Amino acid sequence: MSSMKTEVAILGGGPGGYTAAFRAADLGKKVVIIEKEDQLGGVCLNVGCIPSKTFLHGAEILRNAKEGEDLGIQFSKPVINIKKMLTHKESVVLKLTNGLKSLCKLRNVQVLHGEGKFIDTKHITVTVPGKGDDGEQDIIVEFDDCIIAAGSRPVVIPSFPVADPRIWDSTRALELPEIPKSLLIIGGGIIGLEMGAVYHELGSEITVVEMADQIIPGADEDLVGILSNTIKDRYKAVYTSTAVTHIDNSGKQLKVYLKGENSPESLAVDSILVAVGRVPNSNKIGIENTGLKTDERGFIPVNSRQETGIPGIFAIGDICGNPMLAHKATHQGKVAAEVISGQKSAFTPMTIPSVAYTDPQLAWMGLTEREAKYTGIEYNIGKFPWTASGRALSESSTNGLSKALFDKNTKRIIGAGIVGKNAGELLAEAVLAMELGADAEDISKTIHAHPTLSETIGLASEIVDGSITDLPGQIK
Amino acid sequence: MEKILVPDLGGFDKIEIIEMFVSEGDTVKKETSLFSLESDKAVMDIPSPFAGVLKKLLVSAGDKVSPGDIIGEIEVPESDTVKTTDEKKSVLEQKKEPEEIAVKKTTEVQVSPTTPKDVHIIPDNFQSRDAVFHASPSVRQYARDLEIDLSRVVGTGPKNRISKEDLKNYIKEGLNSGGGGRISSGIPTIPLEDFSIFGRVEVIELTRIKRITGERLSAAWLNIPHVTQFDEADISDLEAFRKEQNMNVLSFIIKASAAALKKFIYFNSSLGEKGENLVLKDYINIGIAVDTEKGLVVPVIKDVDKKQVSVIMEELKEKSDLARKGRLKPEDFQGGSFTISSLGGISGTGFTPIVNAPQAAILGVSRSAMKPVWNGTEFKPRLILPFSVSYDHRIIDGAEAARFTRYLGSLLEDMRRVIL
Repeated sequence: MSSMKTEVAILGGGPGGYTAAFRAADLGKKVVIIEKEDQLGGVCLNVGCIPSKTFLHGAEILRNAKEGEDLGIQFSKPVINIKKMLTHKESVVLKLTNGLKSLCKLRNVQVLHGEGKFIDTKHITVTVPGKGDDGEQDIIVEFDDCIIAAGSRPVVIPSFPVADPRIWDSTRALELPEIPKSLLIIGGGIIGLEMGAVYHELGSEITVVEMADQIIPGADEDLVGILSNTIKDRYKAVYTSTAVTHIDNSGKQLKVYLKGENSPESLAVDSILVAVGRVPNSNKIGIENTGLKTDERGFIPVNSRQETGIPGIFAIGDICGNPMLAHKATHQGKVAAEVISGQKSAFTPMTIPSVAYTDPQLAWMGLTEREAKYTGIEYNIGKFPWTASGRALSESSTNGLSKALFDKNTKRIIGAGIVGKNAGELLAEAVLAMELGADAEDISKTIHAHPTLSETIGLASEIVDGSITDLPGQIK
Repeated sequence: MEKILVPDLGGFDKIEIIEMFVSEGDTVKKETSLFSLESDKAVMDIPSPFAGVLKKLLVSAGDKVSPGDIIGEIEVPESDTVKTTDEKKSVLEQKKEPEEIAVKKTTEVQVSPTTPKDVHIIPDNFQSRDAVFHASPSVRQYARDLEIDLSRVVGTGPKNRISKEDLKNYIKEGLNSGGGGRISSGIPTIPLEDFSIFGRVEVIELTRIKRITGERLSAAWLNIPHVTQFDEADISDLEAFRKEQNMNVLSFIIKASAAALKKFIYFNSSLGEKGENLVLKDYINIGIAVDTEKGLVVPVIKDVDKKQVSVIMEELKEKSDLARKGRLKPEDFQGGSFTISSLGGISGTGFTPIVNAPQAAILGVSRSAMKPVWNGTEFKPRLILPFSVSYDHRIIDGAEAARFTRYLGSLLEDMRRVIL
């Protein structure tokens, strides 16, 4: 048992945690990061965003090679080396985690690898696993301020068989344990569909089961429709409004019982990926010793300064609420660090963008059309189909749609959604437009380079201000 | 679970909750009143934005809240919500909620985190989608640095954008006007004394109504060149008639004023922008100053010229009652074109009311008294009502005012003229 003192303790070294740590250090604070894994970076770097995107890049190359045929370019059948794919992924992750390590050194941010739990509102014990002959060791960290950035983990459904190697969560799926002949994905959200895209290109036959009446339930149905039509052709089946009632794992194949409008009663598959969401890790950090209370979903409530209500304890990222996205956590991390350092910061984004790195990609921000209708907001909308985009045609990517919503009263942009190639990148313009209070004319009169996919946002805005010439005329 | 936020109340913050209508566990419909807030002279009932069960209430009567504050959480039935993956998920899990999700439910409902009133000393400055003015992220931060509530700032940039310059100007104006308000009059301030040297003193907070009334009266008094015209009317006949009908004098005065305003249209006007033109109004809506415990409020009786005296009396009674209970709605104060302040029920032989800007004139009614009146052959006891009209001299001349007060007097002396 040893002890140490620090000004700021950060519980969790994911994107939110390390960003908060670096910002606090840059503002002159002595900072310690407590990270239970051997590497910094959290889910995002190690078992989330980065590895999945590395594999998705591989999947894209496979798909492009197939599509080359239409252009008059034919490749021979690709040879897939899973081992090499994994080492490549690991090298990408390692580059990033090593980068973090050196950034910590440069800033004198100390990292304690071990599980941290609060003892009270000023102390955390960190259980550092033993090395060699040394047993595990407890270090007590005394802090002035603490930022809880302990993240989330995949939901486990208790009624499903446990410890069956054929039933995966997203972390396991990213280890590419095998390329099953048939893979069932339970949960048609972003994570499930991204993994589906990878395994499909690697040769698995994919089935998706989703409870809601559409995949990616948070996005508008016209955008989702384009994605869903595409994957329905590629996959064995996509069952929406369908629940999995039971999994029988006694046979050679997994037998999955379904309950849904159009689904069969049961399916037999080789592997299952369960991707039905994530839960915050708030019950793993000794929170009961601080007096902090979580809400019924386990989130730690915070205000816009990331304060929890207990003086000196802040919370950021997945653990303090939806959406569970790295780019939300990093911004909240900066706010918390700045508030601790005496700055008058607050987390006041107008929107937090969402991106699904599926094929085609799906990205949206601000209000969806459905939300606008539901809340009775009057809006003007511009929808530009990519079939009318020269760039999309030349890229063989006409399977896309860009749309933008503008408030009828203020005229400012209130939402945007894009489905198509690089939608995630294209969305950034709309987010900036919203934060800066741009209206349709501001966007349509901003020159977008030609030929680019980004033009589609400008053209969607032209539809709203009535100046569009790329589509049949609108007489006003 | 949906959070209930205090809606944007048009630039107000830290306003008091005067009454709670619901408590935790209640099932509410969309638009059910949750609580009422005392704002700019009005009491506003805040409706529930969702239908569902109130799971958590973080406020109680007496708390002060600002737009954007979270006041509680409401559990919305699934079919009512915009569906998200999370909610969907829970159906999948319904068989057996993973114990790890169900973080031990504590018996005390009192959740300590985020008590906004303690923590929010600095305005957060969220940019709402539908606000008139827009502040970009850096301007929002600059406003926090200067501790400016952005909802009070007027954006002069293109398309109603708030610039950093606007924030600096806001601060400058505040300094010039001695803090707080946006009016910079340039007049010297009155230095305060240390009163406690001379004896025991107590400092009490002015009610919100008093503070707002004070600001507006100062503005009117500083901006309008006031003149007050005094006159009196023999209301002996009116008195006999109203007694017979069991009605009050004020309702007749309101009706007579409407008739006078119809004839003297400038008294029912407002000075236009920069004082270059005059806005004549086709409607006659008369505000009545009502004395309440918390201060002066002025509910408006609309279209007085088209209403019978009995209808006016009824409405007057209803609105005064609501005013005293503090339950008038914002629309009850709006649209006045002329104001009457009656002290007739108390005492006095005359006073100089301040015009209720941007109106042009105000009628002050004093207490009627029996006076001997020479009728050519003898003194007769007559009931005489003294009254005064303060007016904006930029709009109305003295002669015009004298004609107006006399005409009004003649109407009160013989109400039959009102219908002519």
